[in-house]
Amino acid sequence: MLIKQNKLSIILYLALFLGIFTTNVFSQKMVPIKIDLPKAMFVGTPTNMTIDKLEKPLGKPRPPFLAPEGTKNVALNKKVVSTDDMPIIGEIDYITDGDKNGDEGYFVELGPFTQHITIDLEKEYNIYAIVLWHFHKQPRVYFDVVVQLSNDKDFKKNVKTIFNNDLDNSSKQGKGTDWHYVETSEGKLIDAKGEKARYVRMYSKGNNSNDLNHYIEVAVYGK
Amino acid sequence: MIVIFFALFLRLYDLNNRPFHTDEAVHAIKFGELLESGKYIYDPIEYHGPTLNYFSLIPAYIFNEKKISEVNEITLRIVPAFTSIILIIFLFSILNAQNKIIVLFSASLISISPIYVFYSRYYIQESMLVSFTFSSIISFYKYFKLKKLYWGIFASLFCALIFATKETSIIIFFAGIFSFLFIYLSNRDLKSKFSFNIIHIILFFIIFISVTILFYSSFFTNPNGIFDSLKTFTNYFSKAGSNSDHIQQWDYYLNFLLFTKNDLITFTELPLFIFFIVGIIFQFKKNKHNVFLNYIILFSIIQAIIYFIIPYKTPWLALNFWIGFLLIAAFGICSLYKLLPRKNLKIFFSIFIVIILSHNFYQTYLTNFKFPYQPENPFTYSQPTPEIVSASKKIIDVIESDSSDQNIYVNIISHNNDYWPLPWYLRKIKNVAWNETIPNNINLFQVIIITPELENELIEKLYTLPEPGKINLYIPIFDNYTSLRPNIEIRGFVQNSLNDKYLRNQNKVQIENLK
Repeated sequence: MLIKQNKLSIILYLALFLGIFTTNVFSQKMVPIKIDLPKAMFVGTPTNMTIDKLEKPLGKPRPPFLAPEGTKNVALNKKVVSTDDMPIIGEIDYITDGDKNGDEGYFVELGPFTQHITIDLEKEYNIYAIVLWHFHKQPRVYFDVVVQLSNDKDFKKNVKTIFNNDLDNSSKQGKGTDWHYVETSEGKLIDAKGEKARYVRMYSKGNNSNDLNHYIEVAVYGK
Repeated sequence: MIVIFFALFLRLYDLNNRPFHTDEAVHAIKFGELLESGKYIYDPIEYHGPTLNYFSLIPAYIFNEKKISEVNEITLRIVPAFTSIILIIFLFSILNAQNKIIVLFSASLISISPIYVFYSRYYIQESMLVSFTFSSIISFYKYFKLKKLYWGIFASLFCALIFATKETSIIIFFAGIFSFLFIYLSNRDLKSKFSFNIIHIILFFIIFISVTILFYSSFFTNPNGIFDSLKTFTNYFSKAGSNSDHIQQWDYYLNFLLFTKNDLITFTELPLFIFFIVGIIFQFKKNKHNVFLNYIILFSIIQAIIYFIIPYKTPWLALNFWIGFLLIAAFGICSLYKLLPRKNLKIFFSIFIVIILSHNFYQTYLTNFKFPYQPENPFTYSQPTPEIVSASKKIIDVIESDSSDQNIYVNIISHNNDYWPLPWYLRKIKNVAWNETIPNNINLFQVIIITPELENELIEKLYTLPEPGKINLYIPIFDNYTSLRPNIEIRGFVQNSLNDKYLRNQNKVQIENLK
């Protein structure tokens, strides 16, 4: 009876007690956040980047290019073949999967010396621009970068070279006049001048760090 | 004495005219640990032997520098500069009436050698290694000639220093022992003249082992260092043979030494290389019995062949055989001069040699004083430019513009820890974090330096991870493209509040300057 009459009071007292108890238990003294400061890791000699005819990076985002309405990446998820059909790292189809991430697991590593890849766009397009990402986890310069367009899958006729920085013709695709460039996450933009083609072929012959060839992504903007 | 002083002048004048290279910065920071804590642990995988670090204590003590923040480039570069002179001093020890001109020529060529001067002004081990190597050869030669114990002690000491300087000592010892055995076994006269004093041999090994143990055990504080000094060779062979970095063609050294031409510099050591060939011809036609020159020729050629074969190549490694080539070139010049029959021909040849020496000296001036850091210089290799010095100064100015007691936190992020030589230039800054990836608490750092490929991720973390109301605005630090070294860009960002303080400070300075 007494309990019944004082039920509300008991509940209120209990709530008050619990409130004070939990406040005392869980309230912590405020301390400044401790910031972790890892030490500098020692490294070995960096590779030399003294390369003949090397473009100085812009140091700012590349301005967007203009293209006719309806232009899109026509290489997305299209078939790619390569001179190295058994890559040690990655898969050939990474090249057109639309993922431009530079980390491990997003690039394909082709063997040493001159290697090329060919993208079949499945039909002819007017190609306005090609953006190409070799490897951008560290600044690198790839050698003998040659980009060709053709309607012939074997690239024996109607071959149009739209970029070539093979200065000594060591990859046997003609002597190039384009400059070397440092790979960045923006990729290399190549003007294709609206050429009509179904196949896109790209050569490279190692880089300033090692003899191997890498591709993260190739985007072909056409209509 | 004139030659030695002149050599010293070339090595010491304007010694900080080139920004610190990555390798120099790494060695400097490692030395900082030794200076401040007294601890040095030999690493068998990287960074070579302990001599450079321990020798650096000497100038630091002389200049009363107890912390790495007090040490400057000159304190450190003095070490290879002075040790490279030892070879020139020892060269004069073989001077006699017959070889006066040859020795003087050799010392002069080595004193003004562009590549030797360049790497003697560089805080790495190579010039020390070369100096110890050829000083040991001279000491051995003097010992076998005079049988004086102190020359044996010198030889032993230098061999220990070679071993304690760099793991490439294995090439030096192989070339050295092979050359000795070849000359000894193919020369009957030499066999009969040679006598080994067993006590001297024992003493030689006692000194050699004691000194190497002293260095590699970090003066008995790290016994593991002794075993690591041998373990390092397995690593070296894999590095020299299979490391994909620094792979060059066999003729890499000859290419840049014999002829380099670009928009900035035309460099050639071809005349001296030709005289090196001339020296070899004279040695085998007219001077077969000179053991010292036979040894230098064989030793240098074996070293050259080994360095040509090893795919891993960096320009300073050329010093190992080029110094020997210069000694033989000096002999070639003097032999050719003696051969000339008429006085007017001798005068003409002397003028020609003066022109060659003057040209070589001019090349030393170009590579060491006029273009000391430019990528076009044949001896620079991934060499930072003064951009890194001004960028570091700006970072420090931004940090120091905050006069409050609060700590300014700096985060430097680069894949593969490719942020060197910044740790050297920012050594006076207290709260610096060095990372390979962007941490999730990046918003707590007022100053952030990154490589361009990390910018998108940085922006995402800065503006999405903190709670609303705790998101700081960041402003670029550098007005223009800024590079760590040629073609390797860095980008800097500073919290807006700190940037405002910096700008206010700059205004104050400008007003005071106007007053």
